[in-house]
Formats: sequence, C-alpha cells, structure tokens
Amino acid sequence: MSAPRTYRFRLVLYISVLLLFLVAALVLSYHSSNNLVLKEAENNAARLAQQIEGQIKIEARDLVERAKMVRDNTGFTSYLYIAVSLGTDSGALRDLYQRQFGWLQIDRSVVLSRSGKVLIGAQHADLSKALIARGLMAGAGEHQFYHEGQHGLEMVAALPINYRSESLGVIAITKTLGAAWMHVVRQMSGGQLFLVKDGQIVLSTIAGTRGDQTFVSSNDRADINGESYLVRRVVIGDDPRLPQLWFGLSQQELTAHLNEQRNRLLALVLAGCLGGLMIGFLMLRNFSAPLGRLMKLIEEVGAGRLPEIRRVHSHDEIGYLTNRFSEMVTSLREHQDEVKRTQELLQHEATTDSLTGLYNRRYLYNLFPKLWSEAMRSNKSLALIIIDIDHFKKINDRYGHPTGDSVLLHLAIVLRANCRESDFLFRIGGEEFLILTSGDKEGGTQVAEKIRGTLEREPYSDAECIIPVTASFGVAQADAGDGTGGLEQLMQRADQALYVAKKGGRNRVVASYPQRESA
Amino acid sequence: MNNHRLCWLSRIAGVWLVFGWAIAGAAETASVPTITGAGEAFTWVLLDEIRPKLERDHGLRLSLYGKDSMLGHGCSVGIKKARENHAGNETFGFVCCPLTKEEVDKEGLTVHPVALEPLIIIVNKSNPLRDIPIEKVRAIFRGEIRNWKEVGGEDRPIVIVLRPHCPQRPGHWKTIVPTLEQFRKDRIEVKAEAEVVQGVSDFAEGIGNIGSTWVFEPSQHIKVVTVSGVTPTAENLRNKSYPFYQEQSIVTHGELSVPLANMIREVQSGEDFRAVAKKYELLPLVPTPP
Repeated sequence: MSAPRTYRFRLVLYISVLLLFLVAALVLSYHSSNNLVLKEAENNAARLAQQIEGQIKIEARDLVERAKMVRDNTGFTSYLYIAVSLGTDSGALRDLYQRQFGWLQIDRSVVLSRSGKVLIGAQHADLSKALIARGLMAGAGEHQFYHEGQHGLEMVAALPINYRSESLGVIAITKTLGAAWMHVVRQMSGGQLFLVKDGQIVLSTIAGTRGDQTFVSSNDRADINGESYLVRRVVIGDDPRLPQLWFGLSQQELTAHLNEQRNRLLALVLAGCLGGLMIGFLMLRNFSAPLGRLMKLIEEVGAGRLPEIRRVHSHDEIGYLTNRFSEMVTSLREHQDEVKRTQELLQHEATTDSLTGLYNRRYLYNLFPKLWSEAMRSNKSLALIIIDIDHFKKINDRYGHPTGDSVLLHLAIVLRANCRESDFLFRIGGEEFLILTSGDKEGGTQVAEKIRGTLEREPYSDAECIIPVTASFGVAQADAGDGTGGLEQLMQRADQALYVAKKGGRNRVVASYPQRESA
Repeated sequence: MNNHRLCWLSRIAGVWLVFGWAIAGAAETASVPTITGAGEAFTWVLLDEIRPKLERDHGLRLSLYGKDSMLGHGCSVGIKKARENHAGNETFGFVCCPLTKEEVDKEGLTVHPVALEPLIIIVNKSNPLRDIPIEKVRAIFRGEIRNWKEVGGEDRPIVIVLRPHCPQRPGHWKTIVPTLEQFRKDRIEVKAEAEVVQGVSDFAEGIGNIGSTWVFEPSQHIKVVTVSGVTPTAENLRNKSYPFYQEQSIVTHGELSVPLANMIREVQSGEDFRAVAKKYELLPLVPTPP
C-alpha cells in the first residue's frame, strides 16, 4: 500500500489523468459537436440572411446616392432642361452623361422626360415601362424598388429631376442582382444563394444547377441536387410577383467542416497525448529514474553492501546528491576495508605464534572440532603429531635465547618444507610443536619420520655456529570415540608416545596405540 | 606613377568644375526675380506665347496661371493676384474686361490696356449656316429668334450656351446683348469658357461666343460664323465693322519694379506681342513707340 506513494507512481498517475482528460474531452466534443454545430448553423443561417438583407439595403442607399450625383449635376440638368423644353436631340445629353458618369458602377440607366420620352437608355424598354407604370415621371420623391426585367432581378433607384422648380423627368439607375452579384455575396457569406420563382430555381450559386430545379422549403430546410440545405429567405421588396431570394447553408458542407474541425481536434489531442507522454518520459528519465537508482543504492547500503557508484556528470540536484552519496559510500567502504584488515590482523595475531608464524594452541582448540567432524563425516582418519626439540634447554643455555629462537624458527621451516598444504602446523609450547594431518597413524608416522630425518640431516647454522638439532615425535590417531572434545585425550596419547620416544633415546618417532586398544 | 597621379588630379578637377558649375547655376537662378501673374484664359494665351522673350530680355522668371483647369481662373483671380504685389513678391493680374472706375479706385489698381479681342460667334459644325446678320445674332441671344430656320438654317430649335461672367463690368458679351436680363432665359448657363465650347460642340442646335484667342480641339464640332458678312479680325475691330469684342488688360497694384514695368511695356507694344496679336487677330491698344 505504501508503494503508490512513490514519485514515479505519482508521475505516471498525473500523466495518465492528463491523457484520460484529453481523450474524454475528445470523445465528449465528438458526441456533442454534431448537434451543437447544426443548432449554431441554423442561427448562423438566419443571421447571415439578415446580413445579406442589410447589405442589400446599403447597396440600395448607395445606388440612390449615385442617382443623386447625376441628378445634382448642373451641366446634366441644364442639358436635360434644353432637351425637354426645346425638344432638341438627346444626343448631347447622352454624350454629356457618358462623359461625366460613364465611370459609375451601375448596370443600366434610363432618363425619361416628363412626357415619358426616353432620352437616355432607349434599349432598356422594360425599365422605361416599369417607370411609366409606376408613374414616376410626375416628379414624386425618391423611389427605390426591385424590378424583374430582361436583365433579371435588379435593384432600381429612381429620382425625379427638377430645374428652376420645373419638373423635367426622371432618372433611374439599376444594379442587377444576377449571377456575379450572387457570387460576390456567396464569397462574403460562405453560403449558397437561390433565386426562386414559382417554386423553381431560376438562378443559383451552385454550379450545375438546372434552371427548372424545384425548390421546396419545409421547416427551413430544402433538398437541392440531392443535398440538404438549411435555408432562410432574404426579403427584397414586398412585390409577390418578384422572384424570392433564398440563402442556404449546405449540411454536407457543414458536416465536412465539422469533420475537418474534428480531425484538427483529434490531431491536437493526439499531439497533446504525445506531448504528455514525452513529458512523462522525460520526467521519468530525468527525475524518477535517477531517484530510483539512488533509492536502490541507499537500500543496498542499508543492507550492509557498499556498491561501487559511478560519478554522474549532470549538474542538477539529483546528480549532486548522487555524487555526494557516492563519495560517502566510497569513504564508508574504505573505512570498512580498514576495519576488516584490522580484524584480520587481530584474528591472525590471536591464532598465530608470533615467532614462527605457525598456529598457536588457542587456534588448535578452535580448529580441532571442525577437522574431526569433517574427517568423521567423510570417513577419513586424522593423525596428530607432537614434536619436542631434544635438549633445547641446553641450546638456550649454551648459545643464548636468541639463538634458541632461531633454532625454533629453523624447525618451523623444516616443518613447512615437509608437510602438505592441507596439514595444520602449530607451536603449542616453548619447544613443542604439533601437526594435524589427514590420514591414519602410519601416515602420520611417515610424515614425522620424514621431518625427523630432514632435521637430523640439516643442522641449524648461522655465521657463528652450527648446531645439530634433533627432535622426538609422538604420533596418535583420532578415532570416532574421541568426539569433538577429544583433543585432550588425543594429545595425551601422543604425549605418551612422545614420552616413550624421549625415554627411548630421543630423535625418534613413536606412535601410540589407540585408546581402546591401550585400554 | 606620374600618370596615375595625373589621372587623379584630373578627376578631382573635374568634380570641382561640375560642383562649381552647379553652385553658379543655383546662385544665378536664385538671383533672377520671379514675377507671378494670374487671370483669365485669353490674356494668358498671348502672355504664354511671348514669355520666353520676356524672361530673356528682362532678366526675370515669369510664372503664369490662367489655363490650368477646364474652369480657368477668371478676371476676379487676376484682380486678387494683382493685389498680392509687394516688394519681394511681385505679382500682376490679367483680365478680359475693362474694370469699373469704382473697382479701380476701391482696390487701388492700375489698369494697363493691352488689346481688343474679337468675340467670335460659334455654332455646331453640323449647322449649315456660315453667316448670321448682326441683328439676327442679337435677336437669337435675346430669344426673339428661336429656330434656325428663321435665319435660313434647318428646322431646329436654337440652343444658347452662355457664360455670363463679370456682369458688373462693361464690354465682352455686353457688346452682343447689353444686360443679362435681356438674354433668352431658356439657355445653358456654364461657368467656364471651355464649357461654352463643349456645349456648342455637344448640341447640333448650339450657338455661343468666345474670344478669338481660344484654341479649339480637333475633336470638338465647332464652326465660326461671320457676322453680317464681317469676319472677326483686328482690322475689322479697328474700322469698327465687327461689333463684338472684349478688352484684354494687365492690372497691377502699388509701385511696380523696373522689370515688371518694362515687361508690361513690352507686352503692350513689343514686336513679339505684335506678332502674337496678329496671329490671334488682336487689336493692340497702345501704339508702338516710334
């Protein structure tokens, strides 16, 4: 239960929560966006239709202003006055109009005299008729209306022209709400426009729409060319005979846009997930992993091990901590090595004779039970040899103790030279030595004899003297009856044999009889 | 080595020569007095033609404003410009009609008569008439004759194009009809001479008047008619057989500098002016000094 408290766990948890949140947001937006977009599209269609209506009103006002620009030109009115009052040819008026207003952004223009005579725009008979039908030559105020003529649906601005308080006629200029205008509005609004008359689409911004395509609107929706549209009517004038202008947003286009947005969102979420994972990976790599390694090292140190810690080259806090810890562990290890060496030295000194370097009596008592148990377990024999230098007191007395010590060393050298690696050599008293060797009494006797012979042949010598050195040997064999604590008995038997050897004239080897045998 | 040094010396000398020439030119330009004149278009035409000689002979630079736009500047601008004259900013004006005595006294102006200019009667080039008797001209402008057939032309209504400028001053269009009230009411009234010409060019039925120095554009459909068989020439003005004219004058204000006084004298009576006057059928008002 305490493991989840780790930094690594928290980090993984946070990143997982973040990813989960992003994925949940994505799923939620996927489920909610469809209805949301459609609802918003309906509002948008209504809003855009209103905007188009507003735009049309602005264009109508602009058209009226252009008509006023012509009407208020003194040259134009005086020419018109002459043409109307004197009945001159209207060519001069047309030339002046073309010269001064040819640049105006309008589609058609017509000037009628007060009697209905066409002075400018004779080719636009339909427009002239519409002006006459509306009785606009009588000098009434400004008129702005919609007209369906040979150029299709058009916006008309008609103004009376007066000169010196005298009515001269009317000027009308138009802007056609045709395909070009509809495409401009489409660019502005982003939707489609349909000009509908008697339930038939007469003009639309959709390429390939037939002129006789039926347009049926139901619940602000219409199917055109097999495609469903959210539609709103754009009100232009109140004449029911005029074509109706409809604005539509394609549901397929909306869905395509929605999917496009969704894909963008998905890409963003994926990028966010990847970013989160990357951040998590970097955090694990840069923080959690070094911390984990440090924790493991601390655990090892806590367990008593002092591992080798490589120095790290990063200059961050964790790098600093690791390096300081490494130095601390290195220092501990060096201290521990020193302690171990001291222990080993003490151990050595406690078990070894300082003069000869052979094991001492204390170590004999420690070692024997192990050797005996091992020999008994492996069904092998164990022989004990006690050695005593003959007349050692005389050597000491005659040559002095230093030479006596040298003689003892000489014997230790001879012992080492004639024993196996597996044999254990001890100095158990002043001039008494002991050998524990695997094997039976005969084997032990052979070893003892070998040593005795070597000692006899090789006297001790130094710069001042040559001292013949001999020793007596008592050999005994351990048996199962001795037990782990049977060293005293075994040594007693070997001592008895040694005694026999001494009694027998020294410089000889005597083996004891087994305890049971002797008993 | 010597050649290299010589080359560098020649370059430096060349640079100094150019620099010195530029400095000298600028100094010379700065020392030449500039006289500015503005006013109506007719006098501007003759002044502009003799300007090179005036500048050369009198050591001055002449800036003239009179035909920069279709609307032109007019006599009022000429009077205004004359009043701006003072030491260091010498100006003068030019007008196409004689100023009234009240106007001269009130403004402190001096009028320097230059020439009489015939007012020519223009009609549309499509009009078949070549001559109109003087009384019929006046009757047309008064509105007593309203159709060209009444003067031997086609059956078309007559369209009068008139620029009724300087109504308070004598001369000019008043030589045709003395007062504006006597002119026909249903006329085209314009604000610039160029519009008179354009109006007559636009209407096949048009008629108007303009000074003889006006230069017509080839695209304009204009024709000059004689009046009672008399052509609008300086000689016919002198012998008073041509009745319509206007008087071109230079107007100044205050003391005149010597170059300006000399220049005006040259304009009034110099040889170059005589040549230009002859070209435009102007009748000089100051006799050539002996």
